[in-house]
Amino acid sequence: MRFQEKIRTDSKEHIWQEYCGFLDLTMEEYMVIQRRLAMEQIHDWSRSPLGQRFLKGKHPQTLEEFRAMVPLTTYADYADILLKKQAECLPDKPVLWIQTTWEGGIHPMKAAPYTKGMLDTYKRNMMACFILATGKGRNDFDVAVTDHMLYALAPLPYATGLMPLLLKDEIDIEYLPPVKEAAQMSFRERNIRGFKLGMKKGIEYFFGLGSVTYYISQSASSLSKHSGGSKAGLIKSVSPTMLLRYLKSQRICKQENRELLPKDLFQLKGFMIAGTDNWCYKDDLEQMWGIRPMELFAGTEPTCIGTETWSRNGMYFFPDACFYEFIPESEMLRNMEDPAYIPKTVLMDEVRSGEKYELVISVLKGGAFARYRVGDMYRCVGIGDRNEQTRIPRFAYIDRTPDVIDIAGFTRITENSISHAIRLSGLKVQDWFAQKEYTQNNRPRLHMYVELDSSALSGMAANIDVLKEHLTIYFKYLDSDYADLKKILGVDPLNISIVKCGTFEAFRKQNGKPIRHLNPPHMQVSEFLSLM
Amino acid sequence: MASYSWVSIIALFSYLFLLMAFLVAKKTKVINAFILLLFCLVLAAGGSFFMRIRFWPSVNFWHYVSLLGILMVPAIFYRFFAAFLGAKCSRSSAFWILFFLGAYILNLFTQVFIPTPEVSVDVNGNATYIYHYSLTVTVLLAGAACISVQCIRLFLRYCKGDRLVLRQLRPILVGLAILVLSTALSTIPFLAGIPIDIISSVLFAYLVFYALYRKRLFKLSLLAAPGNCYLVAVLISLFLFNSFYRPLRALVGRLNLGESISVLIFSTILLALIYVLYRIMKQFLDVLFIKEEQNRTDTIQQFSRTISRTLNKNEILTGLLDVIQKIIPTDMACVFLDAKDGSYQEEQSFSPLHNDHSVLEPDHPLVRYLSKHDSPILMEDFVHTKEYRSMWEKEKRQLRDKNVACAAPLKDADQLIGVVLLSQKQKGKPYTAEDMSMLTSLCSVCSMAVKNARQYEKAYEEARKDELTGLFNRKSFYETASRIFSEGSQQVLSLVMLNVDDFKLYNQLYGNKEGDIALQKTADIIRASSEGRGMAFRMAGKEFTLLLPGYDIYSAKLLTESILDQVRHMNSNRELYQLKTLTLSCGICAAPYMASTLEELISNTDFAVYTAKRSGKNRVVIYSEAAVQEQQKAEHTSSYETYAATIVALTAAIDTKDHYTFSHSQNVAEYAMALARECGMSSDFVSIIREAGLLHDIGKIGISETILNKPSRLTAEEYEIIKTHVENSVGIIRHLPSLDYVIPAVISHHERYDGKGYPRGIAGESIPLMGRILCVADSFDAMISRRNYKKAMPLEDALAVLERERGKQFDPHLVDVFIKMIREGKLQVKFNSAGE
Repeated sequence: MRFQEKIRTDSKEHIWQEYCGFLDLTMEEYMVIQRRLAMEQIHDWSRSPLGQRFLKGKHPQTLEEFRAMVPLTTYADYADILLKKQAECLPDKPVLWIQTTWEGGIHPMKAAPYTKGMLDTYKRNMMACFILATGKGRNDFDVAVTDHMLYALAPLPYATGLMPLLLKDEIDIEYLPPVKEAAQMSFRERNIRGFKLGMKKGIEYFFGLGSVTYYISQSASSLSKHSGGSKAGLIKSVSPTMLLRYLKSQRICKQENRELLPKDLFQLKGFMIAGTDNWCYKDDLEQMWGIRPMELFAGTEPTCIGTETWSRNGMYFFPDACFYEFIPESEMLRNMEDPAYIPKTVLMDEVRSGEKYELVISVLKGGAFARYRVGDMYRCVGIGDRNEQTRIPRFAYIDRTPDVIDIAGFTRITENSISHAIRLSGLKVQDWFAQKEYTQNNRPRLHMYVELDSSALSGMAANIDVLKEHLTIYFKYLDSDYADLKKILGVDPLNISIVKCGTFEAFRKQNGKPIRHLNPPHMQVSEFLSLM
Repeated sequence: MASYSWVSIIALFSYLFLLMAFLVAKKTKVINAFILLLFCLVLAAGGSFFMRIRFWPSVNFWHYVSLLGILMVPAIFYRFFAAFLGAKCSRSSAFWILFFLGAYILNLFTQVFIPTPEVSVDVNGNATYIYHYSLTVTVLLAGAACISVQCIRLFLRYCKGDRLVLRQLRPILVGLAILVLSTALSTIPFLAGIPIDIISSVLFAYLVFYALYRKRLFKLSLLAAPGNCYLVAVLISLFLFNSFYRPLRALVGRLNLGESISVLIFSTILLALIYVLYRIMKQFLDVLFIKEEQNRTDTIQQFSRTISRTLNKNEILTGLLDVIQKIIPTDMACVFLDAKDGSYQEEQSFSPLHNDHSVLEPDHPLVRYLSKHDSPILMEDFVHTKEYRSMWEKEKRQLRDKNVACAAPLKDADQLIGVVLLSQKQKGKPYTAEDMSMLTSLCSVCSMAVKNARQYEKAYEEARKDELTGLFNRKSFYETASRIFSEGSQQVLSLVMLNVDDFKLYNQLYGNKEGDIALQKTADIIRASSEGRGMAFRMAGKEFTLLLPGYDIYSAKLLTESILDQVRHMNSNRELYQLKTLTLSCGICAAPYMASTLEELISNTDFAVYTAKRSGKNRVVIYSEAAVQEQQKAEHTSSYETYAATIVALTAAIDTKDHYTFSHSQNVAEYAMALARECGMSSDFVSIIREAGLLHDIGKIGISETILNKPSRLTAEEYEIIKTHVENSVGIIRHLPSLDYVIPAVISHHERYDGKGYPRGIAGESIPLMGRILCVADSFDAMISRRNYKKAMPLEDALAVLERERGKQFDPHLVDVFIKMIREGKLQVKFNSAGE
């Protein structure tokens, strides 16, 4: 039975229980589900050629054996099989392949297989997010077939394009603009069309990357103007209710001497955001829409794995999407210092409140990835919540792991990609390090500290603008996602500081080792800056 | 009576009808609130009716009765409405009840709100009631208005976005709309006089009743309660009596029977009428509401009776599936029962074609769910549970392939003993609450029956099965053989007896544990070979029989030879050491060829076995040949004599390398033989232990002389090398199949009674007896012998060590016997020295 039929025939409590019942699990019940599904996956995965590549003839019989036998993996371990889409090597037959970019354009696209079991779970968990986004508490939600969703995410084959496809199996809500139309449009066209339709039909849900939703919301005033064109056009293309609301809000805005805000026009039932750096935008988005966005975590490799609830007070991981392991921060840093060191992992029932962890997943239900380092950091913000009456750990998304700089969920800059850009630019850079920073307005940016070759200074133009211009061009050249930052969000995230010649060497002498190139620890940065 | 007074009567009786039905319903908060509401409506309608007919005791009395009902209706309705929506409004509900009750009491004494009506009677005797309301009545109206507002708030809070609640509430909303509409209509002059308010109240009551039915808060069959039947019968009787009173009176008057007799006749007629009508009503309502339920109850009773007559598990399960098919027609139903390994295996299904012998593992989410619950669950509900999230894809497929729509538990107290799976109902009909309740009852009845059947089966098996081998026992053999003989005396029946050869020796060689394993393996071979063809039994310790109905002698012989062959090769795959080959002596006889009674058949077969034993064992003898075979006494010389030369050759080999070991082995053999004899062992045993004693250190051939003859203390490493001589010995002897029977003794002569020995670390009685004897003999000789690295220990000291290690290194019983033998001079102690 589809969700839209269930809301006609089932009680709210019943429906809520079906999709969001995992919030009632005790830690033991949660782990029973985790362990049981993990055993199913271990059985299938270890018999597949992909699994055997890691296991080399061994067949783990228990979860503990699996964790001992299988090393922690990254995409490079799977790339040859997955990029060629060799379905016969996988534990289960994939129904479709989802793509994403892999390390700032240096590598080709990443591809991840999705089986039927994974898609069913994805759908159910996505519906849970949908329900939780519209509710104000337990057993409460507000979803109707006649609702409309302004959808600001990339279409298939990106993972974000799966959502409308899966939700269509459950409910016939209308996407603004319709998914098929949107796939043919540019980002700007999609937003204008979406708002135009929204002015006519109303917008009940909004889903997108935090940064994108913020950009769209900021330009809501101009977009709504665009959607109507002239006054006569506005009257024709907008519903009478919306027209009334528009005129009224125009008057209020004039009185209050402010821009038109989305909340003046639309009353959202649910607002969901995904991606990184969402915390930077949440308050502004709440102010603009009158409703606090609910964060969920979904990715190409892990599927939809976590969601916040009505209280927006930490994210819970779905017990049936992946088997979760967590690398404590200290172990992760030790591994970064010494790549030969094998970091220890803990399970969901072993995490501690307040600790930071790197997430490791084994995708369940026939997924390809086992003990896979997703590259995301989470903080456990508590075990259960008295107000929400939950007993399982809550997490907050922090950021990518320190070896990756992700700006607004758009791009993944690594040491490798920066070195590549510097090399291509031909700039005489002696040494550098880069870190992710936040501006005074809480917006993310990439801050590069660059030391130029002293011997070349007399023969080259090397002011900050030149360096920035050069490097930006090559970042864009190497990584189309970086180019989209400017194109879509109008953001130029690069900030450059020129360092006094010899500072890097001085640091190395003082510490016995060079400063880490990407996201060095704060202590190291302070020490470095004091040497300048 | 006014022209529309029948409307009031019908309204009154309708309320009473519903009230009586609900009085016997299962009480819940909503039902209780509805009963209260009906009671108020009864008071309002009844009071109004009796007031209008100016019934005894007075118009005022009935006015107040009616007023109590009317005033309490809003407060009680609010209570009902909140309960229906599941809202917690006990405080506000209590407040409104107290408010209106207080107003009523105040009005009763002061008439401040609603005074008693003024009665005006016209020339036709019809009464008109004129009410003189004052403004104070607005207090009551305001109260009612507040309640309305609160009801609207509740409605908005609980129905917003919840279409299910809205659907459940719809009949009540329609009823309320009718009430409002009727109030509006009553103001139209054209409709004046028509009791629209009463009609709408009745409609409202029935719509509420329908809403409760839709919410499945009671069963419709409650309407057929006897109280309701009487009520309807009385109503109709009164109506008929009223209609026929005058003609009847005229008829009785003509008979001149006097007043008292007339009254008696009238009373009798009235009572008879009520009774007849009651019967008719009961019959009618039974057909209308109870027939189906009655049918179901009858079916359960019938099922219960049927299965109580049998203790056969399969019959019970078949009965369960039959009755399910009858009551809840489905395309598929099957029953899983718990197996010894904790899983649930498919035992029975509608059709053998559907039985794919599926298994539900003990941690299957559905099993875990049903273990915690006592009632059935629909799959559409199961997917909502927490347990469903841990379901494997193949488990989902399994249920999907079986088209499972409903699952019910079979429980013995808290333990889940089985699972019933049902597919969708035929013609796509949904499962109803009645179906689920029926399934619960059936499963409950069936659980008890299955439990009893299994207990009986277990007791039956325990009484008839041999615990060690799992074969049927002697008792069962006689029962079965007698039955077969009596059932089909014309049919061919072959009897095979199989007796394990030299089994006592086998036990002595390897211990009872190995002996039991050998018997189990033999039984498995016999069972597997005869499965589906005949029945296998264990008659006594080492004796098995096979009953083969329909088998002639030739077929029986072929089968027996095949068994014999398998048993011969049974021990050939041992890795560490070769066990002695086991053989069988088998006798065959068949009826009617060579026996006409069961006794004769058994006796002849027994004789054939005896002949086989005497003819050299390890063979199959057919009774007809027995006489001939008896003459051919095969020579059966003791095997042990033939091995003597080999043993001498091996011991001579040790002698050339290490003379001490040679003489030590001879001493150990002597001591061990003496101890075995003293313990009452057979001559065979004594011979074997002699050979074991001679060969027990044969493995030292492979150890360097420098270690063997080292004058100083051995290092840990050297000691480890010395320890390997046990495995070396076995390694040498295993290549001599004719001597393999000494291996158990040789391999265990360094085992300790407390389990701290080597190489296997076995303890106590698990160490073969020969090994324990050798251990005492070996240690004793080692202690009293002089070696390069030690002096000979005095005899008393050696005996003291034996005493000290009693129960630690040595078998306490053997130590006692050994010491006693030395002290009593029964054993000649040999004092050796190195190089001697």
